[in-house]
Amino acid sequence: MHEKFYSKNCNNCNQLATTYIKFQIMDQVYNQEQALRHGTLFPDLYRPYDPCGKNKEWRNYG
Amino acid sequence: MDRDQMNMIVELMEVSFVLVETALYLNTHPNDERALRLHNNASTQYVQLEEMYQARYGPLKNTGMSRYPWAYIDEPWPWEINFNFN
Repeated sequence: MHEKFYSKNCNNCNQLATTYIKFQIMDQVYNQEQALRHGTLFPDLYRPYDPCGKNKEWRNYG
Repeated sequence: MDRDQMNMIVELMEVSFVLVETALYLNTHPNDERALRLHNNASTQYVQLEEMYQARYGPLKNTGMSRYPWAYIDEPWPWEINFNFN
């Protein structure tokens, strides 16, 4: 049924999506109080959900 | 619950959260010495805090020893703690 989507005749155009995640290297860390407050120990990973991109402030929290 | 107990339980939660984070990080970075130091310091701190807390206020887990009467059911429960988060 899916042959046409996975056809071997089409070089490299039949790949499924792949993900890539950069390897984390520990840099700054929050103190224990701020870690619990932010939900992460690592400022690099602090990225609160912000669908409209309105709140730029969090970028400065680190 | 008095202020001392509140401060202590909040600190326990903070330190145990640091331990969650360092442990997860170390799973994928076992050779990061700085992270390991951070973890070991937090671990020492956690053990001391836990011992102090339990001696004063009773068991934090139901596997702990208790004075009479059974003190595990004493307050506070986690949802009764106000962190004053913004």
